[in-house]
Amino acid sequence: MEAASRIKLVVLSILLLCSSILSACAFKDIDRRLFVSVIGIDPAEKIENGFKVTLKIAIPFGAIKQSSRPTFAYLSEEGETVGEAIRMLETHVDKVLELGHMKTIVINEELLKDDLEEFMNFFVRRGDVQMIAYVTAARPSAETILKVEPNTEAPASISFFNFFGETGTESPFIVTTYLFEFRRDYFAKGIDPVLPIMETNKDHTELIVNKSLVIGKKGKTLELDSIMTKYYNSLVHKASGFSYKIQQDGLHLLLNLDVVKMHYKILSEGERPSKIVMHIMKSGVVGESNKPLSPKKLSEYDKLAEDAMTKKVRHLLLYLQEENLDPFGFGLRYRASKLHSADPYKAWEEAYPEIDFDIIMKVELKSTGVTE
Amino acid sequence: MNRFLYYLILLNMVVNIVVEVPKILIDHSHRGAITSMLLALVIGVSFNWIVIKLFKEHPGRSLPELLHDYVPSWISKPILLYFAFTWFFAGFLSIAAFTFLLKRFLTPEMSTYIIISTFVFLISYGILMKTQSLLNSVELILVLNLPIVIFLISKVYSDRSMEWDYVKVALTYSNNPPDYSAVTAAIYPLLGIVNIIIFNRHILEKVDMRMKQFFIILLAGAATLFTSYFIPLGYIGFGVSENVQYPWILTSDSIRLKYGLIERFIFIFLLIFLSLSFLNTTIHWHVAQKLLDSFHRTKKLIINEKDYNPYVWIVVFWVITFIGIGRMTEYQLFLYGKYFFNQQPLFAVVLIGSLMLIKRGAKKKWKQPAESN
Repeated sequence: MEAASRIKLVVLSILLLCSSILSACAFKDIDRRLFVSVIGIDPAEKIENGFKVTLKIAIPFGAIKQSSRPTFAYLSEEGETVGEAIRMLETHVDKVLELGHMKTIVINEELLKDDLEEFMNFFVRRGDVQMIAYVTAARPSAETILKVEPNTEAPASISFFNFFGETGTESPFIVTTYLFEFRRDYFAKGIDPVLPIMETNKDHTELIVNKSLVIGKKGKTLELDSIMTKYYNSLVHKASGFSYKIQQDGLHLLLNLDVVKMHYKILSEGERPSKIVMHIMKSGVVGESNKPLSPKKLSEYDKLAEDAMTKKVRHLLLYLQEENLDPFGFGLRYRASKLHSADPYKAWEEAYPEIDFDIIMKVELKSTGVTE
Repeated sequence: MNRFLYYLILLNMVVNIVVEVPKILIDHSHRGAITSMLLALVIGVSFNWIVIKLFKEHPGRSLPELLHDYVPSWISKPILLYFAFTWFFAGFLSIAAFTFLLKRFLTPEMSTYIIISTFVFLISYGILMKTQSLLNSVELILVLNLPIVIFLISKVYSDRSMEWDYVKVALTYSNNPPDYSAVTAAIYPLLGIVNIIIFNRHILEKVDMRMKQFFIILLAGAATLFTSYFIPLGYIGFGVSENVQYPWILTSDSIRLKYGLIERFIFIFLLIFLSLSFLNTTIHWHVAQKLLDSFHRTKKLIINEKDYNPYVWIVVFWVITFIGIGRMTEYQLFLYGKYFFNQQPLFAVVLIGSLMLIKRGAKKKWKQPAESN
């Protein structure tokens, strides 16, 4: 054998031998990990200004067929900060707590009235928490919500994940807010984030999401009821399946709208923003009626729907304006319209409480449904 | 223009979308990032033009050969050493950046040294390849990866959570004067052409740049800088992003592939950019090793007609990398990165200066061409 190839052989075998002392990328097996799926945060009961962290952990089992219900374990601990509580929880279990699959953060409604930077810090600073985790407010408390195991929950699935992001159910009543959106809009000037509120029924067998909470700066929060949530969601997130009820002169219609388009302009008078002109276009079909309908009169129904919906949208906008909250991001849009040196945000803050809204609604009903 | 030149330029652009450049630009978002980018675009593309024009006169010859032929060695040696150091450091920085990234986001439990070694060993193989084979593998990897990069970037652009209002707010800061650090950081992605100093030897045809090519590079550069700076703002928010270490990683983590095989975009994104960064580092170190070879080589290491000089340099690279990155903190990474970007004008002056010297030397026949290879 030649000298060169012998050296090569020796080097190669040494390298191969070295690989046996590698600790396999320091990787821990799946049975030494606990996958945290939902994390809930409540105010602490024992510690002042502390947090109570509850983790919902999915317990893996051999075969899906063996189990008729999903199995979860719950861990709770209090600490001065979120990180501290989780650090202590690591000593309560024999396995590594893995946050990489954690997809929903449930925060007690009460906590949202305080300064939020502390949570945000924990979740953003840790590299393993997904920025596409959903954030939601909980009523009455995060722990109660976390411990709900809905009857409809299938084995090997978690209903918390299916509610949002149009993964499972798709409803205009459900607002989806990702962690990165929440962080972005919470810190930015000119827009306020909106979180869905998660509730449960009396015997804790259902999760209910149809309201939302606007989180303002300085700990100001405002609840939007289901109707307002629906309007917010359909205008900002273009949520379809928007079923709208109209009642007039004994006529009772339920519209199924599948296209919603919205754009708006901010008009200024001199240096001062004075009016927001909002164009809304909706199109769809009639879903339910208490009287027979005539396809010839579709444009009449259009008109009816336009009037009724304009009223509702105006109500929502004025309601938000009264509380000086801006989840639509009008302020942000206005900031973008002028050079920063003109300080448009200051002008906006002064003008927003008195600004006018002009809503131009256009409804196009395509059909009366399957029957007339 | 030769297609390999495009590859070198494009590769450097794509790789630098991700780590240090956007961080520095976003740090300067209240201090003239936009004007800096415009200025950098003009300077960067003209620099491409100048370098290509100067090399056009010496087809098929690399810079060390030209220096050897036309410039006295007391000038050429320091220049070669300086260039070698610059190229080594460029590669070093991207290995460091990706080591930190992997440690933070993909394999938090792995030892830093194991991560570095996976990089270094693979890259060393690339360094030892023939220059022509390296060029071919660059072509292959780019052709395979660029479509995916385009898909990923277009996904980032078109995602519903992208809030363009933040981008517009960022644009309202376009009346600030440019800042030195921001300009140099924005120039860096446009400098892929400088690898020509070694690769020119194997790029024989069409080393030229006309108006058409000029505009192609200008457009590609503008798109790169725009993507690199503005897109993260749409996800992280304007005025909130300054304290974020890796704006692009946070951005890529903010995108959900609802119907994708993997729901989290970040993993595909990281892996693709990792592979391209690998390639770019290989090129950097290949150039560094070639420069060092012409700086100094001993006959003692030629055993049985096999040259072991490159291996010595590679071992030097390994040692510096292991010790350097093992001890570095993330803060230092960004600090050294900034220093590195800030010294680019010196680099440009030395490169153009040495090419001018070569031009003069060639005219005067200061020294007769010793060997013709």
